[in-house]
Amino acid sequence: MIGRIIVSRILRAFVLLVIVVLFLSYVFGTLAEERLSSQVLEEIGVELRSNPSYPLLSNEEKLEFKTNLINLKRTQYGLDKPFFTRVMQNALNVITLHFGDALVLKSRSGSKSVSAIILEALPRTVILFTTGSLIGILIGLFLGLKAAQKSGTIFDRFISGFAILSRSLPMWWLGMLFIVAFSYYLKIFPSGGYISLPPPSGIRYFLDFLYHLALPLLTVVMVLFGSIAYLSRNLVLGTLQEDYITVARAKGVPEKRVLYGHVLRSTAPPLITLSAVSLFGSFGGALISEIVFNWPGMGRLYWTALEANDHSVLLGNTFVTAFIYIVGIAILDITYGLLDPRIRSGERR
Amino acid sequence: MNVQDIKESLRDFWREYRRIKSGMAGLILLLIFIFFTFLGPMFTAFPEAGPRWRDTTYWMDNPRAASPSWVNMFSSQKLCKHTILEEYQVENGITIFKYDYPYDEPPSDIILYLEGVGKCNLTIERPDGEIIPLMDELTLYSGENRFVLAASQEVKKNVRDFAIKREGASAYSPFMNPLLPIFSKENLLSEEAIPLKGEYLLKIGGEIKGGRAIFSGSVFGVLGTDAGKRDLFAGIIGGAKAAFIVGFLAAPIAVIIGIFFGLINGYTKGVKSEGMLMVNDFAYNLPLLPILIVISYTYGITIIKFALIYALLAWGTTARVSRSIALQIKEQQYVEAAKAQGASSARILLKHMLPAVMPYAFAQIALAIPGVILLEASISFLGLGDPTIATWGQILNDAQRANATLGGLWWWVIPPGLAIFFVAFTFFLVGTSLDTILNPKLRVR
Repeated sequence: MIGRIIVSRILRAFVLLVIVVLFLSYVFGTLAEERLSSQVLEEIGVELRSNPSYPLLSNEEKLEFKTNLINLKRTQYGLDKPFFTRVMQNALNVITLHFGDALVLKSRSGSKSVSAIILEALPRTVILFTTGSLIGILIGLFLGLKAAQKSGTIFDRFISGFAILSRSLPMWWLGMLFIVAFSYYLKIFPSGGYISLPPPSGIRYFLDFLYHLALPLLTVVMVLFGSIAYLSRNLVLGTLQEDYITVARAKGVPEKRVLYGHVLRSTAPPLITLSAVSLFGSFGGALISEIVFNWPGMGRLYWTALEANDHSVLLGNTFVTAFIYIVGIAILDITYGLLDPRIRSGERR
Repeated sequence: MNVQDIKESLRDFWREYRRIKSGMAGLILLLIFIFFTFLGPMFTAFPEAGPRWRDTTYWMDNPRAASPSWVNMFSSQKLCKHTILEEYQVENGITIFKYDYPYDEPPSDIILYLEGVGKCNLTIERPDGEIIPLMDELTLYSGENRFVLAASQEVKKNVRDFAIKREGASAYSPFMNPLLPIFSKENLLSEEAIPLKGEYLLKIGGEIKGGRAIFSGSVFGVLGTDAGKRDLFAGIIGGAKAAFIVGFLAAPIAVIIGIFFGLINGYTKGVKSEGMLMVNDFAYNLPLLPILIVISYTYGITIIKFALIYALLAWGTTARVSRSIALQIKEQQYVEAAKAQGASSARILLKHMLPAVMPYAFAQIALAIPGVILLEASISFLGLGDPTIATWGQILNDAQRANATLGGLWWWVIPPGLAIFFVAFTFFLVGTSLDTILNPKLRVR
């Protein structure tokens, strides 16, 4: 049963990915057609102007010469093939991770390959987002449990209020505020980048990296932990009213064990799904926060690609972002399936 | 359902809603938001701020990157307030603008608008009685004539001559505010100039038909200006319209699509239902931000287009919940009875199942709005927003480009984000309150 669920989930994720890629290829196909067509006309213009025998031709010959040249160039750029074929070809390239060369941007090592540029940015996004999520979830879980335990108190209300507050503000704006407060006024943290220039060596490199990571990390954590705390509080509160908890307490099971053993175990599956939802909800926000902090990850790559008008990097980056998002959700769904006894035993929901 | 029933149920609903404190707070905030969206621009000095946000001529008389006026209340140094003098007196053929100057720093510029035809001259009389000639000959043409004094070579020369005459020869930095000596008592040419406070008289010798004088300061209006001289208060009020359109267009359409999709999905059986469920899953797992980035980059985007595209893509969550509600309702006796009587599927869906899901839809619309507004702000922040209207995300995008955070221009960074936050928060409050009352799933408990 569980094997079938995993296979079908992976299959569906793959189909969705293909749909997204086809759509992206279609959109970029129209863009590339426009760009290439105007490029063809431009190149022909230059060629005709520099060709000394061209002005000597009669008008009809001129026209013929020009049409031939246009057709030649269009074949060269693949524009003679039907639009549909080109979109399909492009989609196939993207799915097999052949992103081609960037138009403008270069990687730090000087490579023009889009894959190299993205591979350089990817780890930085992963480090920032996974560390931030982990800390956010841990803090959120802890506070949520505490709030559920003390439900109705000021602390509980504060947590619930904070959750709504943190869900209502753009993460990247919070980052901007932090820069104004901590970098401009207090001058405690650097305002951007991921390492000092020139980069220090050895353990100092690592410390300097952490120093630069601190403020972006704080931003991600601040926005995440509120909603995680709120979710876990609500779920735990529901479980705390179950009979078996009352029994456990009556038996004299220590409160800590009740909370972390009994309650947490039975609330884990829905907690993981809901946390995943809020996690992936904040993924976009985290990407854009990179721009604010000049953190050279994938979010920042969107900005540089847009500024440089480099649509091949934009396409590659969009695909990788979509890939992470879709595959990430699929993995979390499968984890949920593995954790939930109802699904594990094959019972229908 | 007749009118009486609807009235009755609305009254019941209101009775319940009134009891939820956060819901009432949200409702009040919502009314404030709607009020500012429609009537707000009338309270600003720049009512056309929204549509003319990128029109530099609309903003050219404002100071650049000026902080809000009220910072003067908290600082020992009194910063120069941006002043527009519309009134003037005419004595013996001389037009006089009276400028009160109680600040610790000089105005950064004086801009004169004069109407009339002919020639006139321009002098300024200081509180200590010194008269400084500024321009010997102003030529006025028909229509409005604009004179920027800090940019005029003649004014610069006259002011420098005055300073040198008063304090002897001295170095004159070309980077210094050229108007500084006019408004200083001592050390006319250095950064430590002591301001001469009091009433200044800007005199125009000659015949004019109308005019005004603008003394540019470094504090301006309610929320100051950005590096493009734009009034941020007007921009934020103007941006409310974009948020309003995005929220109230995208969320309802997305929710309606989701409700119907979920209902039909819940009602159908077999392969068709499985297929629909899969489509629903796709919509639910769609990475919205990258897709919207690509669409806006390629085709360009307006507020309306954004709202419609969002609505077409983001109905997955509602459809899921709507389907699960439909699955429950389908088993209810009244639906079975209708079926037994031979009612068509469309009739059962519209007449019997839709009314049961409808209340949930309202809650869902309110809860979906914050997401739409945050997403639009993100797209605008990337510089891909609607170029024809001011949005909060775009103001923050400009701030990011101009490195406002690193320059400490907090009045450019904080208010737009607060506005986004305020609107999103409002709809969260209203949405969660509606949800507790109207969501049938929560009610069953």
